[in-house]
Amino acid sequence: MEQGVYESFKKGSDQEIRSLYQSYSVSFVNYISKAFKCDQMLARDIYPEAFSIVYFNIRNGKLTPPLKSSIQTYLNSTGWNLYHRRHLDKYQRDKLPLEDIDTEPETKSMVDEILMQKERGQHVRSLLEKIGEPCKNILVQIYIHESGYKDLSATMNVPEATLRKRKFDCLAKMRKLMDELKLEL
Amino acid sequence: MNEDQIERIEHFLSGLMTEEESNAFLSELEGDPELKQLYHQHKFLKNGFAGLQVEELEKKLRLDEEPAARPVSIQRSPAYRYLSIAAMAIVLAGISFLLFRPPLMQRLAKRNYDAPFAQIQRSNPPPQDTTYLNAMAAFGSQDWKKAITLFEMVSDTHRLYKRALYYRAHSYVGLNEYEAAHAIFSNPAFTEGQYVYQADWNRVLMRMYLKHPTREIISNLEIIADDSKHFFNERAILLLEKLKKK
Repeated sequence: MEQGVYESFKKGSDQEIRSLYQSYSVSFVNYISKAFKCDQMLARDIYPEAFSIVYFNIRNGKLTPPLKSSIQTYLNSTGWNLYHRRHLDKYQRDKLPLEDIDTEPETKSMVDEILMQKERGQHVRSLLEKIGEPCKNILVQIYIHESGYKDLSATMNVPEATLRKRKFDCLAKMRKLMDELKLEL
Repeated sequence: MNEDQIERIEHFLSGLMTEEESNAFLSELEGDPELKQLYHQHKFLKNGFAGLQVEELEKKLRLDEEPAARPVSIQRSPAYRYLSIAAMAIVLAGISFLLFRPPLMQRLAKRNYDAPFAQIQRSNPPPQDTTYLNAMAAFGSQDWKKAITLFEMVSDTHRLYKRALYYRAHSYVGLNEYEAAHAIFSNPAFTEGQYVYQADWNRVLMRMYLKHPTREIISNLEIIADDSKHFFNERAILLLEKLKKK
């Protein structure tokens, strides 16, 4: 059962992902609102982020079978860590009874890594705006929408070799801007 | 820089190298400062693209979510005789919620505020970075007072001064001291460099926390909403819509 779900996360169509998203939501919201005694609205608010974190960790091969727990537990645990980081101050965190916490330890680093990536994403978004088109579109298609060279070259009507060359040129432009802005790495 | 180097970096970052290849690549990095710089830059970009991918999926999921599909929390009691008591309790809870909940502007500020991720990446920091890294560690564990004290000790000649200043402002937000945070986000150091957009956005959020007049907030947000290159352009548009609806 869980293996099938894992495969759907890994290779599922948009429709399957949407249906998985909906199927885990009620338990997630109940778990978070009970764990933190918080409003269900708050729990619902972090659900898309928790789901996306688990989804990308499965897709990128960071969360691989055999899983120690069910996908629902990973989602809940990711939500727990997100809520913990976002909504609790130090006093509240210290007061939280540790013995009640049933989380998967690896989800903490999953959450931390994605939060770091999102912060860098803000810089990358600004760099993309600065380099403008057509570079922005090429890099977005390749790195965000994960389009292959073959499909992209057909859509953009340019040979694959040209597209590859453009990608490297665009990345070079991004790096030049990073140097100019003295972005701290 | 040649294209093969980027491809090798991408292979390494995607975990597609064998252990032997990875080790060889890592030793090469150590001996070639230019390649090392290219590696760090490309890693930064790849991380950023990954962050944007997550954001994109989140946005899609939020848009797809139909109210009917959202989980509901109403639990019906079969004991009708308790119904009136339960209803009364709900009404009272609702009234106290309305009386004691923070004003709209502050709630919206809270929903839109994101504390940055504590950046602790170095394993062998140079001695001049010790205070900065201790401050960052305090920030990471949400020990706001300690973070403020330590970030304050980072000299304005230090290469990470702006970042220290930026995180000091966020530490004040952690303490709900929005006036102090606002003053730091308004520091002239943020008129250029990598924190321009973040400082802009957080200045507006601090004004929302501080209950500045709605007209002023709307006009601040409109400036960001009109600038399509601004990091927070889309969020400003959404926030404006919410504010105008109310």
